[in-house]
Amino acid sequence: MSHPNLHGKIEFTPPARLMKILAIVGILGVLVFLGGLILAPHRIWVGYLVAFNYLVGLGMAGGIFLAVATLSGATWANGLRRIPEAMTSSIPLAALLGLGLLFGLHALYEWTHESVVAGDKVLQGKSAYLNVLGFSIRLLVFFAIWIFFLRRLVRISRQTRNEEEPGGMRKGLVTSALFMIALAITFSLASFDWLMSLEAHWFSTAFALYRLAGVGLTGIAAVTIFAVGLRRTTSFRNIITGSHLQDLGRITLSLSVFWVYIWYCQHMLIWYTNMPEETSYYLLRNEAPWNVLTKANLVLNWLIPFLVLMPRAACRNETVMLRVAVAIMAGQALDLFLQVGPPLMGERPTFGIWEIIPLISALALFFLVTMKSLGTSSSVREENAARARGWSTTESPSP
Amino acid sequence: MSIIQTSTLKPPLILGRKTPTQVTSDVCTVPEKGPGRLWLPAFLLALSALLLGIVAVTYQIKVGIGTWGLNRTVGWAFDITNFVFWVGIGHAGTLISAVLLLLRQKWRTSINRSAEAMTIFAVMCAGVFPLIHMGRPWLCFWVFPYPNTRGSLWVNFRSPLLWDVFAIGTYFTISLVFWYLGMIPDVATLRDRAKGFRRKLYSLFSLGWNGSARTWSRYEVTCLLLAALATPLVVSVHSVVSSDFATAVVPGWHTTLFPPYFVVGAVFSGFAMVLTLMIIARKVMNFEDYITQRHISAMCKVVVFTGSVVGGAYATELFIAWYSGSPYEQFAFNNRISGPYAWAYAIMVGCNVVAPQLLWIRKVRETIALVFIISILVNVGMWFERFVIIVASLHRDFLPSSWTSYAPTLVEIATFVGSFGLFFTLFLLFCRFLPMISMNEVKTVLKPHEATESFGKDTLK
Repeated sequence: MSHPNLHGKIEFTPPARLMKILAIVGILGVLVFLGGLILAPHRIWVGYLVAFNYLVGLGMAGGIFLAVATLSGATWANGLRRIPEAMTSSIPLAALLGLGLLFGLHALYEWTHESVVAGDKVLQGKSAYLNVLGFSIRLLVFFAIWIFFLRRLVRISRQTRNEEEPGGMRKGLVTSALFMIALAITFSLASFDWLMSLEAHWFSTAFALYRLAGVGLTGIAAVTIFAVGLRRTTSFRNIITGSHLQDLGRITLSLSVFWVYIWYCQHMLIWYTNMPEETSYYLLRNEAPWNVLTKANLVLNWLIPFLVLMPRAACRNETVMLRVAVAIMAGQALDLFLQVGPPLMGERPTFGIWEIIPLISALALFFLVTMKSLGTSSSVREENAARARGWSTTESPSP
Repeated sequence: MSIIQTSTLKPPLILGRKTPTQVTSDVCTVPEKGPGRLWLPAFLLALSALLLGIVAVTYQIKVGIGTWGLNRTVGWAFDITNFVFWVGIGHAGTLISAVLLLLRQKWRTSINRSAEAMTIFAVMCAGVFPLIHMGRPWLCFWVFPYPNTRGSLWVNFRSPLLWDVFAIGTYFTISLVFWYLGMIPDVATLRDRAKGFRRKLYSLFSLGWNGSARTWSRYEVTCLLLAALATPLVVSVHSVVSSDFATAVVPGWHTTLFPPYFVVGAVFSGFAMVLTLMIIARKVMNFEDYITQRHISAMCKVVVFTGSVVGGAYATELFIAWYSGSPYEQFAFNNRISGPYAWAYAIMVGCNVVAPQLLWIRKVRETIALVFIISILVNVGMWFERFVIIVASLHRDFLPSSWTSYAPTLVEIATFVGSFGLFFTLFLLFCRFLPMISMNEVKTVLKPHEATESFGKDTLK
């Protein structure tokens, strides 16, 4: 029994010019960052933190996609698996950025200032958790765990080809399940550390779930962008079909609704009870000029996907899907900016090269490493397709 | 595409090489020829419990809710615990029938009918408690917002208790319509096979179903539309129920994670109840070929997933209570773990977080007796979760002078037993007179020509 899709040459060669441009933008980002450290140290770290979290989200989303597809037995996603596999290759880069973040703690986090903590009872109570050493160790542990699991997930995913090859299926299930448990713990703590503690007095139990919903949404948007890109440039067109796009569209729609659901739960419950220690979070964000961004956040991440992707025809249209995905990618960047900006910028958002270039270059680097990885893995697929037909017994290379 | 559909890896959903005719005769046996010997004793037991409940409710309406163990500090206890417990039980039905329909999870076909019935009966049980709690239930229509002569006194639209009325009212209506609509083709099958008065009765309820292609086409479109309408309800109902607590400033009640955490908890308890009932039903009604090990395993996986999420929510609550630096939050959670109701907290964690973890192991999922025990433990645990949230948070409030404790009275216990009586009486009547398995949907997943015997036990995960 052979799969019609497995015939023919399936290759993706990253366009050399695009890769060059992406590399240049990436280097530009590094230069702007170094310049920013001297010229605008307080502003550059805001941009850096946004870019860092964005990159982490994209890489982790790749792993979550693989694990969820394995656990739910989503055979429909087999043809797409190369994309999330490739996306995870940005996590080592994100780990590097994480190490860089350790040098910016003083500029970002109020709780690192000993003089502030000394005069603040609440912060003293938290200092057992919120301290530089603990933060650094946790950051290293998170990345160690993530890189360990992502490498395994990708290796297993590249070995399991399709329904004909259940080998490693059990291994895949166990790894995926363990990854999801590890993720629930590490990702929650990471979101508390990196983002929630920017406002060290504020707390919300839904925060980690809100971040996770956002990461899922960004991830599925990124998968869509790559899926459409591969369809337009390669013979992947035969593998990634209209049905795949439709499925991606439905997932985008439901994740978008899920994201806004968590947004609403947090916002409504804090508004309703109106407790000072909690409403502080929304004071700036719901007042002019920040409130414009708060509204734009809802439009980009929820209203647009919700209204546009409702009809089936829209999900099957690659141009529509691409545009919605771009809107979500922008929306999630804005969402991060809204989490990081207000505590550090005060009443007025400032938006210039120091904020925008780190984000853009992180995105460029993400596309660079993902496309590079896609270029090598698409040939792996060809080899495995042959193996599935019994022509070759060579082992597939591990990532 | 072809690989997935003809794959030899996926065992058939229905065992025993059933043909459509066999499905009809298997499912129609009970409504036509009567149930087995166990039905009558079970029904009498349920009916007795129901009667006990009726006596208890009549007594408390006559005397007043002073017959309950509530006091000024603990104003909600058994009543609201039972209310949230029953609403939660109902969640699996809508999830199975709506969400799994949209996700095209074919295994739902064997269990959706009874899960939906369970939903409806559970919501009915839930509704009883706030109704009695009103104290003057004959004025219950006051909860509806309509122009009135009471000085034009409107309901408080900002109160989550009113949102409950809307959310649960909608939920009940849509679930009922969905359940009934799904049953029409099967009721028509019963009609076609019946004679005399039974034929007239089934004829009335099958709404003139004629089985033409056009009828089927409309029917399927309606089902999909209703599923899409019902899907938001799966989330909204328990989100609203959770805001009964989360909008208050009571430590232990107010936390932003409450809505999603309640929804997952509800699905968790709902699936546990479906497991409990289905494990009994497949044995008693000889439905082992329809509700197979594969169905049980699938439900076990949902239970272990949702149970772990619930565990994660408990952990998050604890961590943030400490992290918040709020002495009241910290006290509330310390008091839960080590206060007078520590035993209830221990039951809750043991049954909801620890026990379901056994279901990670395939051997456990395949040992039906163990699954049955775990499913009952989950039900117990989820009842205690609500009890802990409500009573353990209330009994130590901001004023230490009003600290007190709570114990249920016999009237409250009898009412609770009565709600089980109501639930099982209705469920047993449903099993007796209506097709318990959705014949028309099961027929779409039959593979009578495939050798089902060739699948060893180990391939049926």
